Amino acid sequence: MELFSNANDFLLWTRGDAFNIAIGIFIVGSIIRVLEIFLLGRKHDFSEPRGTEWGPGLKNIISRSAVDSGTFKRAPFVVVVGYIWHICFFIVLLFFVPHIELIHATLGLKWPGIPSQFVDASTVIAMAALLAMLWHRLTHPVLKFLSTYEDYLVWLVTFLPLLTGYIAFHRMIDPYPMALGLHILSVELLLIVFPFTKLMHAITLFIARWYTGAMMGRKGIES
Amino acid sequence: MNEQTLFELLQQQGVSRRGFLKYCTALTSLMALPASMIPTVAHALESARRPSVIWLSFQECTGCAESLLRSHSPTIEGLIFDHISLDYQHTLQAAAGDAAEHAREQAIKDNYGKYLVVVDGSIPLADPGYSTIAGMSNLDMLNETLTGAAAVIAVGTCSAYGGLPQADPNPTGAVSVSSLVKDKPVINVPGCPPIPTVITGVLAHYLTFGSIPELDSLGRPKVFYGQSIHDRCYRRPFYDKGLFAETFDDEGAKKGWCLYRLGCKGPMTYNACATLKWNQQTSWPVESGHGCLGCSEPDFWDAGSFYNALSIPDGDYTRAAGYAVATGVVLGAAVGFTNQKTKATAAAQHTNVTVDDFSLNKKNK
Amino acid sequence: MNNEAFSSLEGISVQVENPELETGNFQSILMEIKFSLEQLLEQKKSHIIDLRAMPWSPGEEHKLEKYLGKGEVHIELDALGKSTFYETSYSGIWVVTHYSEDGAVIAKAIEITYMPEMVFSQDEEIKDSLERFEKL
Repeated sequence: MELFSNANDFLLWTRGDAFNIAIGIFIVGSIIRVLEIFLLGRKHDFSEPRGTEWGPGLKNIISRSAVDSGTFKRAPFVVVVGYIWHICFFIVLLFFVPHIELIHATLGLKWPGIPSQFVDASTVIAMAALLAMLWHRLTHPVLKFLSTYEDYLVWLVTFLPLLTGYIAFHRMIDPYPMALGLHILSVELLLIVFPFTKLMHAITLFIARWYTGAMMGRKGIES
Repeated sequence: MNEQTLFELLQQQGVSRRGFLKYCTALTSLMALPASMIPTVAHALESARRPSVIWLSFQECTGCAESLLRSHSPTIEGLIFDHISLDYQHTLQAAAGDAAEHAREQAIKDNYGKYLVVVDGSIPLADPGYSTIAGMSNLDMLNETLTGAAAVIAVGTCSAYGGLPQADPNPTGAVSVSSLVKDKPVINVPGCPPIPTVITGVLAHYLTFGSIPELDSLGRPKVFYGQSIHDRCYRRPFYDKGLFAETFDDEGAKKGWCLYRLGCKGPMTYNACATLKWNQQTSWPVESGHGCLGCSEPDFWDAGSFYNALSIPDGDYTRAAGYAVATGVVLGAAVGFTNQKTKATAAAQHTNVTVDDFSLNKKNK
Repeated sequence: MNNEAFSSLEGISVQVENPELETGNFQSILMEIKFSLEQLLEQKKSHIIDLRAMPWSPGEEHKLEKYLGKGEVHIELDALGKSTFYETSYSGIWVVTHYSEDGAVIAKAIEITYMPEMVFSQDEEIKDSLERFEKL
């Protein structure tokens, strides 16, 4: 390791310059993607509105999180494992105290954490869910045919933060600054890749769901 | 000068066999060896000779020497010091002037190949004038003294990793001992200051076994620096339960909850404070309610605020984010308008499909 | 600096803020002691637990001593400072504390044994005694 004189140097770099670069790319990329969508615009709708837009739009953002029975019947595995993955991932991301400290320091928001055993268990379940989904992708002929390198890249950059976080928490790499540095670096990798891949869905889903709900609302249709 | 064995020396002082065994027991405990090693230590000490020690102080604050010399007198540290031959320590010998320098040269000559060199403080490379002793630059003195040394012990974070003098922007070009010494074993005993029993424990190891202890990747003896503060912290159960002090005087602080949120660097710091404690095992920083500063780690002065949690980035990320937002808006607008233009151009060039386009005699048109 | 000052500090009662705080070492030492007692009975093998080699929460070490109690035998030794050996209320479990000449604790251990080794008269010194008697 010639770039860094020791593990602490590496950790300092991940917490300093590397974080600045990653957060910079993440913000620039995300804003470009979002502006691109909004600036494309929509033709003015001259029809008489039959309902409101905001209420149904916001409602749709939430209601579309519920399981759709048709989708469930077609792909129960994807739905169940997908839910497990997302729930466990958000438990780990939002309720591990060191993560809350990070959010508090960067965004000023704060909420109580949970005991680390629960976070630990959620990490294991989330990793298992991701592995199951990779297995599913590789064994399902249609899914495998449709998969591109981007799908695997996205899988990898999502899996690495969990794996390195688990390793750091259990101190499986010595010294610890190296383990923590690798974890932070893997998250930075995720931030950099985020705006330019389908990971962007974490932001665009709100726009898409709101738009669908708002359109339906305007037309007076239950969405 | 040092031909007497340690055992003979103790006997001369009228120390009984039980006294000797007691000394060995304390020493074994001091070296953090299991109690089953006491007979081995006793056996080794029966033929051990007093090592000659030359102590060099460079860019330092004397805190490390204070830690050792003022460690509430004659404890085991004192006993150890009786049984090495400290032939040169210029801070203590300043009044002796030239004679002290001769003592150093004599010690090198008499014990060539066998003496230990203890260094506290970093070495300035930017300009030798930043720190000199008896008109000699620190670098020259280190090189000269090291010629016949068996090993070097870098005591304190400054000599082990550069410490405070090396902190950004490092005006004196300070470097650690290990970055200069490549042909002798270097034992790093970092800490600001190091725990006195750790300094003596390392000396005791050399005295007893005539070898250097097993070291970690940063050159620290594993017996003392093998585990992190966090792993050995009595407040660790609170970390696991998610119970944290959020200010220094809240309910959590009073109940002794984990200090992670108050910036404790325990998880990344390898040292023996949690076990050996300070001031005759009275207490240690975390026990007195303050997080660990990480003083036994490289770059600890440059690792951001002592009061920032370890998981917080410490660069100027607000600024980076600000620039990113501005850049994002500009680029996003540019991309957006380009897309609009493409769309408008496409719309302008658009021609409607007529039935003629599908007619069979299309080719003839 | 001097020990007088420190021993007078003992007079000030100290309230441990969180007596519930435990490192888990308390329980694990009890397990280690139990295992060692079995070994002592079956294999006549002694065992020493260095109390300095593990982290303690405030007051926890004291709690362990209190838990073990004091038994019938108390021995005091004077060699390079004082040393005390006492059997706890559990036979075969001894608490050994070594002090420096200034009265500071330099080593402390729990020994699971019939009698701490150091209490026995030492061969080297018995030989010396014999020589002195022969000269009489």
